[in-house]
Amino acid sequence: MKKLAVAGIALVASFSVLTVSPAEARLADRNLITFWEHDDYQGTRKDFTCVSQQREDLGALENKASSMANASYSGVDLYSGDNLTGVRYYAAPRSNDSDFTNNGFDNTVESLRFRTVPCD
Amino acid sequence: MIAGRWARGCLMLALMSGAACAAPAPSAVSNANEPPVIDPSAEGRALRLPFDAYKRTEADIELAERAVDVLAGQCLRQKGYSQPALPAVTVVEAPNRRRYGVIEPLVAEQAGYHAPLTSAEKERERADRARGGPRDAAERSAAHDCLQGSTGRVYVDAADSPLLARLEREIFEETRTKDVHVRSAFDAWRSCMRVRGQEEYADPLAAAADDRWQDLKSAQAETAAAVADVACKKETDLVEVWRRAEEELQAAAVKRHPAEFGEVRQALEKERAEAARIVQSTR
Repeated sequence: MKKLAVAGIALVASFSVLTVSPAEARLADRNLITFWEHDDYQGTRKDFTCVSQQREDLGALENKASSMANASYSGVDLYSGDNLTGVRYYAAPRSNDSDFTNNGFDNTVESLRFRTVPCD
Repeated sequence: MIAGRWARGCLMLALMSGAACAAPAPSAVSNANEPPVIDPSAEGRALRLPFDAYKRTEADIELAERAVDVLAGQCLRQKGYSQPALPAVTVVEAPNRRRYGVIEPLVAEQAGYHAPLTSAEKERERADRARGGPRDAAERSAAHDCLQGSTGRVYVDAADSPLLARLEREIFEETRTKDVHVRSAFDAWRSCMRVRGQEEYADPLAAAADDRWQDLKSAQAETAAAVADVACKKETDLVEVWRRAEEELQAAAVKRHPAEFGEVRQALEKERAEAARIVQSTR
């Protein structure tokens, strides 16, 4: 997991590299964690905002997420099981992971919890 | 994050709770729309594994969050804004509380398979909401700039070890799918669930993942299943059997990778010491 070295306009530049459009990059600045179906932030994406603490399922990307970017200033606990069960993976604030394979979480995340609500 | 904004929220909070501006004491009674507040039981707190020593504890994360908050507050003051500091929160360490599904009778009875909040989480959420957010785009931009710089100064990359995370997942799945003692305990647990009129899920995590629990109409069935689940875990000693199997493999993994685990521990200690220094500098 790497820190998101982004701030202000640098955010747009960084997320451009991640094949996210400027419009999406602005959205990504609004305190959310985003999951992608494939490595390197490719494929179907799903955003979760930190309006409430718990998101107990990942919907269409449940067990299918291969990369993530936590653009929020909140740590996020990711779980291998539904309803915050199984193995926990801590996504630090402003961190990203282009390939979950390295840490054994590829196609594994089923639920998550924001640690800070609201987080901006 | 202007002080006046927070003060209004704080005043409202004080009027509602009868408490001072610190977050009010958590209550065991919860609103219907939010999870109940249930702190980890002795059983939940006692569930420990070797890898725990190489991961951030709840206290570590709470300390790091407050250190970021302190630095961001200092940064905001330089930009002409003010922000009251977040209060310290007393956390309870129970890193594996929900690792094997629901294991606490009170949680099963009050939350079914859904996760409760802890007192610390509730207290922190109240404090965050009472403080309020930025008033306008300029303040939001300043806050984000400050948080960005502060976060980068507190969190240490090397504290997040992909190797440890991968080994943890592999060991969890290996014990879940191949360990004969764990598999035997699953068999006994399934039989117990059947006797209690419940479905024969593959294992406790499959029970927690039943899609029916997303439907509020299934709340009673969910509670009944979760209560039976906890009772059957206790009857079959499933949690301890599974924990021991993981403990053995995790301990062996630590021995196989002394340098890597040592680096993680050092990174955690560095992050912890710097966060403590930052927080203490304000006292």
